[in-house]
Amino acid sequence: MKQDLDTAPAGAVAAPLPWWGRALAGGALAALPVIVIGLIVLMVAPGWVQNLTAMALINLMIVVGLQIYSGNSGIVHLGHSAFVGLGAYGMAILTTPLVMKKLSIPNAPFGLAGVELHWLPGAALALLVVGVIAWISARVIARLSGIAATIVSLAFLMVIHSVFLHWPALFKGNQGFFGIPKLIGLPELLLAACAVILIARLFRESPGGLQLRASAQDQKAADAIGIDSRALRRHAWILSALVCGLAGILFAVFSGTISPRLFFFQQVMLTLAMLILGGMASVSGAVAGAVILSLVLELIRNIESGVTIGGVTTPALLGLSGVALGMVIVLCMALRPQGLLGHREADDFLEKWRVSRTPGRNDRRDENATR
Amino acid sequence: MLSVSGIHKSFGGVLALAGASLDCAASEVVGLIGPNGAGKSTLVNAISGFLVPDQGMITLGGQPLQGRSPQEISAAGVARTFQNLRIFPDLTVRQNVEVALLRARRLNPDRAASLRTDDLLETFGLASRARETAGSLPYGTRRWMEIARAMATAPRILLLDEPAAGLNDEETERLHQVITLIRDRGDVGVVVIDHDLAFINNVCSRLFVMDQGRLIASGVPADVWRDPQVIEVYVGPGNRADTTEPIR
Repeated sequence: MKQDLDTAPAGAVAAPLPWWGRALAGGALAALPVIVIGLIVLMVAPGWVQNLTAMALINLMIVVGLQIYSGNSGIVHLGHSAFVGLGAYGMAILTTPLVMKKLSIPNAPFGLAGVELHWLPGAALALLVVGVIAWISARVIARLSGIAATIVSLAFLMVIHSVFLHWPALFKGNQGFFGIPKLIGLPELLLAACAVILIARLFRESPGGLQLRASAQDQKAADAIGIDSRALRRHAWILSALVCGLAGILFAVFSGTISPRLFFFQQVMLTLAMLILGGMASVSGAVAGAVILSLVLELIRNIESGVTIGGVTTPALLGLSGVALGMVIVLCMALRPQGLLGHREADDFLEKWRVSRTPGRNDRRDENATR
Repeated sequence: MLSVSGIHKSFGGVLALAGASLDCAASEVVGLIGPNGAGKSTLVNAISGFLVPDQGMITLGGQPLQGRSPQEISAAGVARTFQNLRIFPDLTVRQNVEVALLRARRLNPDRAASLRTDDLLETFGLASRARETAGSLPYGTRRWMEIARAMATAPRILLLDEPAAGLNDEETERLHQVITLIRDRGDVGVVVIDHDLAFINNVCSRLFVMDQGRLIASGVPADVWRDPQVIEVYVGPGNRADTTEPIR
């Protein structure tokens, strides 16, 4: 079909980058603000700000992990925190020194009370456990789409949370699991966050990611061109779980103490709000949402406890950050349901801006008038 | 190449297809026509796997297709478009076509080897809009994109469900050219459903006429239009001229 039917100018389409090139370049662009903020904090900010930034980076990784499944499949996922928890507890159980374990989980089953791994095999094994549980749950969840999948993901969160709470021999139940070696700080988290952004972007632009996004937009059209959306949803679910699990592992070895409630509704809602705010369909949106909401919520937490401006002290407004979080979701859904960035990545905006500045680049936008 | 015979399908008590048949060879364009509710789209859905026929045979190159999933049927070489356009609105025009080609390269490496996204975009006059978001395209352009996407699956049979609906004369003329171009590739058979009978007569070498779920006539257009049953369906009962009822 080489004949030209229309008057389409030959070579009108500039040879685009291969998908992985576009993914790495675009991912680097999305990671740029994170790197800049991270480096500034690292160099000039006091310790407590560094700690807050570290926590924000962990949340950012969870949001990006969530984006891998939700953003590409179009299905809201409410169970991602279960994987964060599994990663964190896996790491805690495998790498906590034996002395500490005698105090916290002396009766751990499967001989785990006598296991103390180096951090690298510990992290690998924890990720493997997350991967296996994700693989099993994916077989159920990938059969479903839309609201049914969302409800099952919520049920999954409840199950895992309940196991954390009611199996104290292994997870120490409601009390905090303490004594996990604190191995990392802000620089390591910054590096990990950048890696996670690149992974998410690579998946989005990959042939599988493109096919999954297509099937989310029109299932029947995707079926008609032979796309196996079930298999792709399964892959996205597992990769998303691994990234969330990694965030959990890093959280465990950053904070040294974990407890089940950290991986429950509070975290699900916070990270979901970040993703909704930025725009679910793009990795840049996930990053933007995480950065913006982290900053806003920190500001609000300061107001919450009362501030003194010019001798006047505002009253303490406890719970303001919770209200703000809810408001973000409500306002976003009402005003801009597709999120701040919509389905576009940061590099798409850059490209659009460049095209608009270069006249005569065969843009026939006027034809829209015939619609 | 494509052979469909004796397809029955009922929804509850309604018999949508009651012995529908059709065949199409490579490098041939056949038309599937009939009044509204004749079961044309139902038949296309049955061939493409979107619904499972109660009985009947569908084969492509001798290989049975009935009861298989849309994905499997697409992999076997049946591509289709939809009566109500179905596009991927948030992807670019290029990605809309490329996503089908990516899949075809996996499922049908031999047939897809010669296809290139840029060639397809150019053939269908989409090259200049390749980077635009599909959701921002005007109606006619979406139609070209949908056909380009179907061709990107490297099909052996292309089913076009009302491709001329909503197109103006100039666009319909171009559609005619596009279908001729696809036919002249030599390895693709095209089945066209449409209500634009002038268009159908021009583009198709054989016609299949359906009414109430059954095939009532088939053959070259000149013969089909002389068939008394076809005349009855399209023009009305034969004694119409004798009735005293005024024609409104």
